[in-house]
Amino acid sequence: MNEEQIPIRLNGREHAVAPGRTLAELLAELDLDERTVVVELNREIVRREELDDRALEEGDEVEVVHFVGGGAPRLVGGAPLGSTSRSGRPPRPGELRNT
Amino acid sequence: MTTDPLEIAGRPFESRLIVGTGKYASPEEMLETIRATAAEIVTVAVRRVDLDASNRESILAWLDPDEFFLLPNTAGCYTAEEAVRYARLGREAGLSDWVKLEVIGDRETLLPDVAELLEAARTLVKEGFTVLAYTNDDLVTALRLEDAGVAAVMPLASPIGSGLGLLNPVNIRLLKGRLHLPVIVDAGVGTSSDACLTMEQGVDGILMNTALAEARNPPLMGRAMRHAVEAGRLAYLAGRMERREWAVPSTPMEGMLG
Repeated sequence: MNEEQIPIRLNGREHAVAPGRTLAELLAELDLDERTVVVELNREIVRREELDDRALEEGDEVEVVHFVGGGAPRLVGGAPLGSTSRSGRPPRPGELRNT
Repeated sequence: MTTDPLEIAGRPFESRLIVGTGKYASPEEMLETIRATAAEIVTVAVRRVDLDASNRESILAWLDPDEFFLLPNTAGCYTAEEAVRYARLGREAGLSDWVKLEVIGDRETLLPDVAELLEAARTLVKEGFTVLAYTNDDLVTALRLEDAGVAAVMPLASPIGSGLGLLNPVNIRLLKGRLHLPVIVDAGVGTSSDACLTMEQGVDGILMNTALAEARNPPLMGRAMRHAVEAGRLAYLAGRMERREWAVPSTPMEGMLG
């Protein structure tokens, strides 16, 4: 990690970005098409047209989600959104019992 | 069946079968199966993009919104707050303001938490969502959901993924008889006879996933389910004969040789 980079949380994990990076630039760095994902910044949804509006700050929590196969709890691909603010956490798909 | 559409929130659908997209061995198999069912409404879930995976494609790479009506769900949510968060994320994707609301209360049985469900339903209706609510086969909860302004009530036939079929047809008929909303049985159907029997109770539709995805041949089961749902609906409309515990000959006795 470059020491000039600032730490954020991205999809529940530590991530470092260069100072001044916007969400749109982060998505581009991750090679994600902003038309196929939805972004939450500190639990607030960021509209697609606003992805360029604000530079990321230290400690920002970013969630990048999309649609996966579902209809029953055992899901194809992707992990549920974790939460750091509640005592419990949502179960991971593998923990759910299916018959 | 074109003269007998399923209508939800004023929108007509030709198929009374709604399908999920989970658990399939491959997206190709999923798509082939969904097409075999002739379902129009297809549920999808919201999850984090897996940033480690080489393949990060969204399921929308396989499901064309012009071919299917994609219905985001809140599968895997355990609180009203969490379900509302997922519903908002699903809406932000820009498909529609419809959501299939699920709030699970127990990990072993995946039965709904009706208190959290009602709270989430009220919030989402207030925010302009068209809410289809997965619930127990409990009349009072269903009535409260109707009061909350949901667009459809979706009682379970039996627990999600159990394949046990319709455990309580009496409760399902009671719900259908009392509600003014569409009643769509969601979860528990195992095979075509379950689907047919469920539709024969007079409900408006069925949502299924596991019965298709875990069949040995999912596309073939898709075809079976399509016909089972149609057959059950037609039989309900036709009105079955009376059950009696004695025989009545189908052939006249008059004219027999003396």
